[in-house]
This record gives sequence, structure tokens and C-alpha cells, in this order.
Amino acid sequence: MQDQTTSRADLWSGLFWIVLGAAITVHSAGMPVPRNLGATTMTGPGFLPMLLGGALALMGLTLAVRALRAPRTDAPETAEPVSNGRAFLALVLMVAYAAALATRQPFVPSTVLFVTVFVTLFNWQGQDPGRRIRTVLGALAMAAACAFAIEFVFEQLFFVRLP
Amino acid sequence: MFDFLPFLLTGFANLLNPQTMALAAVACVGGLIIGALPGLTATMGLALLTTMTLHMNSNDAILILICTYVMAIYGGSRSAILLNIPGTPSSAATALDGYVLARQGRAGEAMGLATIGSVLGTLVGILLLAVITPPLGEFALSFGAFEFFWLALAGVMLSGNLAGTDPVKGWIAGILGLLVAMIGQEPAYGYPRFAFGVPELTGGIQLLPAMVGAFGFAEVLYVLRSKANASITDASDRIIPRMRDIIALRWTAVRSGVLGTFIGLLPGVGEDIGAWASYAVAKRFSKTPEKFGRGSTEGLMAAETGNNAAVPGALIPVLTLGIPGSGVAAVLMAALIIHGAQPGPLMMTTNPQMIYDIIAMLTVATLGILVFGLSLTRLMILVLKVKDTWLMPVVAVLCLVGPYAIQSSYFDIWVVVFFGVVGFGLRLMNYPMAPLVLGIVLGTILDSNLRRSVTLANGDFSAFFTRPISAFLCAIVVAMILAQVGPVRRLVGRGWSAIRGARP
Repeated sequence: MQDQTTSRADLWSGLFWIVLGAAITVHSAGMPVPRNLGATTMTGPGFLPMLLGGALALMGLTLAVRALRAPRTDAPETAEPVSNGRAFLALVLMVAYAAALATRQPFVPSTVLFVTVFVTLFNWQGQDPGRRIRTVLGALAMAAACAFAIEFVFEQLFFVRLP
Repeated sequence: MFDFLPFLLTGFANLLNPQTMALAAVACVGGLIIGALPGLTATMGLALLTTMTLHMNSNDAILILICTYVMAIYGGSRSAILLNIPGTPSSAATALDGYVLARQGRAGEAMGLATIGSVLGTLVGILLLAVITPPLGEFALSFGAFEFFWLALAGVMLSGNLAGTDPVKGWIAGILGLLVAMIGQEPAYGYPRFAFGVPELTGGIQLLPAMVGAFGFAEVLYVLRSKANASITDASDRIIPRMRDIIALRWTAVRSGVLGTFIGLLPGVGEDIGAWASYAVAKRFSKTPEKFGRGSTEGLMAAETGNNAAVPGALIPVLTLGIPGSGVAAVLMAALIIHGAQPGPLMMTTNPQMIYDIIAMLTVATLGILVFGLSLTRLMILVLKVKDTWLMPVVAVLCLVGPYAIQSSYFDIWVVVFFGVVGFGLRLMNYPMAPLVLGIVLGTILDSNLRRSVTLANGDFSAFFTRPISAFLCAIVVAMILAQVGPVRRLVGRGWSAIRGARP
């Protein structure tokens, strides 16, 4: 099962690299060569990216062909239980927090909110109500401490203004 | 002969004041914790700390980074022994025998031996660093554009070949890194490549946000994906190792130290391969190879000596060639550049003091392993009980705030997110990350030296292949490619077995 998903991933990622590599090659080949400044095709800005794009497409082709020809791969067996749902939840929270920072929301409130929600959500399942309340309060305390500590270190010691 | 002594003494004298020593001690404990916590790898810790020490005085910042680097590689052995989870990828080989020893009730002994192994490994590495760096730096002065072109190419390819399980995927990661380095205004004619009219892209992708994304942000996602809840082994036996145990393992330590250093020296091949190679070689030379994997102190010693020896080893090419010897060393090199030390062949002539400062700092960090490694056992067991779900959001905050703080650039926050998501996706599909970072670091070197060589060659490209060092590096590159071509590999394999079969 693991083997088949890996080789299917290899096939599709291989095809993706072919497309990306080809696009990069075409785009680089279209870069202007400033001949009036003494540049030649080989010293122009597009030459190395063009080669790299070609190499990427070639490697993608190798990967895709190999995945097609040999359905078995040497992917290491993962024995530990994994959950893509947890990774996805973390990703959503982290991107939301990044977006808050990048759109210049105030640092301390966004950080406290992010850390508290993060810890609470990941420690919610399978706990009795008493534990949950303690988790939320603990998370809030840690979030506040960490937000103020980070703000102090960056603004007072390094003189960097946080958002 | 002894003209390096004044430099070395100055290096130590710079460190011998209470404030600096206190800073080193804090960095050592911090590094130990970063290394021991699974989920905080040495690369991630160093990338985050670089962003946080940016505004400090450069010698202090470099001291903090070097102490953290050395201690983090050592600290990985703690969780490898107590939890069977390598705290940092380079301790994977340590877990094989360390955890078995811990299950046999010898956790203290295993931690003690790992400590001594790391100390000896770092010391052998420092000695070789001091011996190799000056002549290699001198030799590197004869390198021209042709040699640097091949060196950058061979570096990325070697890293791609050895860092993961699949060279093709390693090379793809390397090419992606090189392409990332192409983004932005190129140095020769100022043409904005792949900027698509976005002003932030014209300036290029900064190395640190990209690294924090690929190693930090992605790592947080990767850690939270697994639901493993490891139980900690009891460690109540004596931790201070016995002298006779150490003496019995002296040759293993020296052999692994030398091997680890030389593996660290190879571009982009660092601590983890250093540990695995030392382990494999120790097994081959051992009188009791059947014990390996079943609680062999020899195997534990070899792995821990090997990974720590690779730390000074990985710094040798940074100081002499400007090419990092491992992923972690790539971060350290970026930090050195930010702090105004220019790593590369000119360093031995323009700033020899820096090399001896780094030797002094590595020595202080070794002392840190010995002191904190043997004394902070109880504290480390407490630290290892910290839950991922409480630690990771704080790491995520630092991953986003640290890179922003370098240039106060909101765009860099998105760079972290982008590289985090892409890095996570690539890791899930078994693409190694070290070649990617090496590609980003070496992209500019590759580009500018290719153009310089083409201009110098002036239509006659034989210089790419006929200058002795170029020819050698070119042969390595060609051999690596040919080794991936099926028919060639089978032919070589047949020839090899014929040669071996001819011998009695």
C-alpha cells in the first residue's frame, strides 16, 4: 500500500517537475541578453537558469519513468502512527497566524490567541471537562508569558519593532 | 611552525571574561535542550538563533551559534538513549545501541559514554581543523573560476547523492535550491530574473527565511503529524564513565573521530552520515560485531564520536572554500556572512584570527559537553517530558517572528510560509532538505563563476576539463551521474565482481 502511494506520488511529482522545468527553460530562454554591455548567450542572465530548468525536467522524467516501470520503491516503512489531519490543522492555524502578522495585526494579542487556540485544540480530545479547563488556563498563561517575553527580547534588546 | 600560537592565545583570551563565559554556558544549555528535544533539530535551532542573535556583537553571536551547534548535535543522544527517538537526525545511529543499553538498565552508563564519545570526537575534529585549515586555505587560493564552478556543482550533487535515500530526489532538491538562488536581480547586468514585476522578488529570496521555513515551519508540521507518545526510560545508574571503559574504546574513538571529520569535510554531507559511517566501520573492525544493535558500547561510542567529529569537519570547507560541509554548517555560514566575516579562501589571509577564534569557541563548547552533559541529567529528563503540542506553537511563533526581525520585512513572513509548506510536502515524498539549502547557498557562486569561466575561456572550453583540479572535480560529477545510469552501473558491478573473483 505504502509502496504504491509512493510510486504514484513519484509519478505525479515527476510530471510536475517536467512541466516546471520546461516552463523555466522557456522563460529563461526569453530573457534578454544585454549584448550592448558585452554579454553573450552564455554569459547572459538566462543561460544558467535555462540549463537548470532542463536538468529539472530531465530528473523529473527519470523519476516518472522509474515510477512507471517499477511499481515497488524502497520507501522506508513508517511504523509510527501518523495523522495528516493533525498536520493540516496545524498548517491552517499557522498560516492564519502568519497572515495576521503579515497584515500588521498587533503582535501580543495575535500571539496569545494563536498559542492558546493551538495548545487547546491539540489537547482537547479524550480529556474530561476539568482537565480541559486546566489546559485552556495553562495555555493562556504560557501564551501570555511567551508573547511578552518575545516582545521584550525583540523590542527592548534588539530594537526591532514587531508588527 | 608555531606562528599560529599568538592567534590561538588571542582567541582564548577573547573568551576568558565572565560575561562571555556566561553567554557560552547559557548557549550550551540551550543547545543541549534543542538537541535533546525531538522536533527541535540542530539546523532549526541554529536558523532560529541566527535570527535572534543578529543584533548582538558579532563575536558573541558566533560564540552562541557554535556552542549551540556542538551541544545540539551532542544533545540528540539524550533522547536517542532515553526515548529511542533521535533528538536531532544525526543521533539516529546512537539510538540503535543506546536505547538497548537503557532498556538493560544501563541508561546512565550509555549517557556517560555518549558524552565522552562526543567530547573525544569534537577534540579530534578540532585538532584536524587546526591542522587542515591553513594548508587547505593556502591551496584554495590557487582555485580560479573554473574550479569554483565545478566545486559548487559537485557540492550540490554530492549532497543530493548522499543526504537522502534516492539520488534523483536529492538532485531535484538541489536543482530547486539553485533555482531559488536565481530569483532576483543577477549581479552581472542587474536583470531581475523570475521577479514577474513583484518588487520584493527583485531583491531575491533571503537565505534565512527560506531556511527557517524549510527546517522550522516544515518541521513543526512534521512533528505534529506523528502521534507517537514515547515513554522515558529510567536512568538511575551511575553516569560518570569508568576510566577503563574509555581506555578500552580508545581506538574506536580515534578512528570514528578521524572518519567523522573527513565525512564532515565533504560538501553538504554532515553529521548524520558521519555517525552512520563510523558505526558501520566500527562494526566491521569490531571483535564482537554480533553485539552491534544489541547494546554494544562500541557502537554507541562510534556513532556519538562520529557525529560530533563531523561538526569541526563541516566547518573546514566553510572556512577555506566558502562551501558548507553540512546543512547546519550552511546556516552557520550564512550567519558568518551576515556578521561580516567572509568565509572563503581569502579568510586565511584577510582574517586568520577568525579561524582561531572559532577553534577556541569549539573548545569551549567541548568543555560544555563534558560539564553540562555529565551534570544536568535530572533536568534533561524533565525537559524530555515536555509535550510537543505545548512546545510547537511557541516554535511556530519564533519561526515567523525571527525572520521578520532581520529586515522588518512582511514579505519574509510569506517566504517562511511558502518554504515551510513546500518543504513539508517534499519531506513527505522523501526528498532530502540538505541539498535544497546547499543549492540556495551555492547558487550565486555557481552562476557568477560559470560566467567568469566562460568569459575567461573566450570560446575555448577545454579549460573546464584540462586544469588539474577542474578535471578532478569534473570526474567526480561525471562519475556521480554515470552511477545512476542503469547499464553503466551493471557493467561496473560485473567488472568489480570479476576483479574480486580473480583474487583468491
